[in-house]
Amino acid sequence: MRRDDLDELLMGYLDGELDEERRALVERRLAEDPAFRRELEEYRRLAEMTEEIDFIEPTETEWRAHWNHIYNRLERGAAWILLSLGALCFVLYGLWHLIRDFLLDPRRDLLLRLGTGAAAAGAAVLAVSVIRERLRLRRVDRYEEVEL
Amino acid sequence: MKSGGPAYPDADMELVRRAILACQRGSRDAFEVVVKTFRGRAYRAALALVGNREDALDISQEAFVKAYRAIRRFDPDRPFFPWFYRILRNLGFDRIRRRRTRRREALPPDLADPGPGPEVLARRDEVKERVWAAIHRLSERDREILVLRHFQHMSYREIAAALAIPQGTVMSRLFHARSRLRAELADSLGPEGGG
Repeated sequence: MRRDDLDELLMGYLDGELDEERRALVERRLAEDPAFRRELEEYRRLAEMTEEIDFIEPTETEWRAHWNHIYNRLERGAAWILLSLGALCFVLYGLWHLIRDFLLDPRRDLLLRLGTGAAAAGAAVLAVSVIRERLRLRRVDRYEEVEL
Repeated sequence: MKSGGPAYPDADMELVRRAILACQRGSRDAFEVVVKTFRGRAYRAALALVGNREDALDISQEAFVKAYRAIRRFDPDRPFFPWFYRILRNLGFDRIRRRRTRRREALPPDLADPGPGPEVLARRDEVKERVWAAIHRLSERDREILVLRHFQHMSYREIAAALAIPQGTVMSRLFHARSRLRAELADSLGPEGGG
């Protein structure tokens, strides 16, 4: 067995994650090789040092604020969806009336209708473009710069 | 409180499973059980990744909100935390990436990242501060696997599920992460090393 493979098995041995056969393999090597035993001791010490770290926990007030914030976000999420749907209905209704009662009305001045139509079309193109860009950005890997 | 501690008893898990089922039926109140059970682990995992408590609290809140919104896709018979952790880690990495970009834009390139301070540690001494700083000099990849094993006390099986990697890869990544941490802390590991 390669040394690298044994080193990796040593991690499983240290963490109590090996089956009997592989544990016996590591123990045989430990019995034969003092350097391997030293390595195990260093990793054991390293694990102890790491696990001795403990953090300052948030206070009860902070935890209460934590839950309140989560709850409010969940509750308002549904409200935002309803509000967006309502706004979409208003926009569609407005567009329909703009086209029917203004742009297609021959009694209105042609230049004014052309100007309004062009401005509305420009705003629509801009809105679609921004939404498409947002969607494209969401699809690409936002974590590609993070070293893994 | 100790940084990891054992997971929770089976009775709690049954409570969590029932709460998740209620959430899947649309109950927001039931989600409080889930949040209360896992908020400590979520906070500590986020803290170990990002290094400061404001970001850790913020990320854990955001992760719970996202988890609730995706809860219908979760199988309540499976352990919650590995699934939840995948949401949390993405937010953590996103925060690190944004912080790095902001720092790159705001500071001249020769100014080194000061890294996380020791003020988040409950009991401070020279060795703990050195270990904490060394953990934060590792890459996110190395730090994450150490966090899951030593701060979250997750089994290889749970880590494999959380990171979507085979169990053999968990062992290999732990070896490489620990080797690099061992090199960082070589002075403290000898027979005369502090502790």
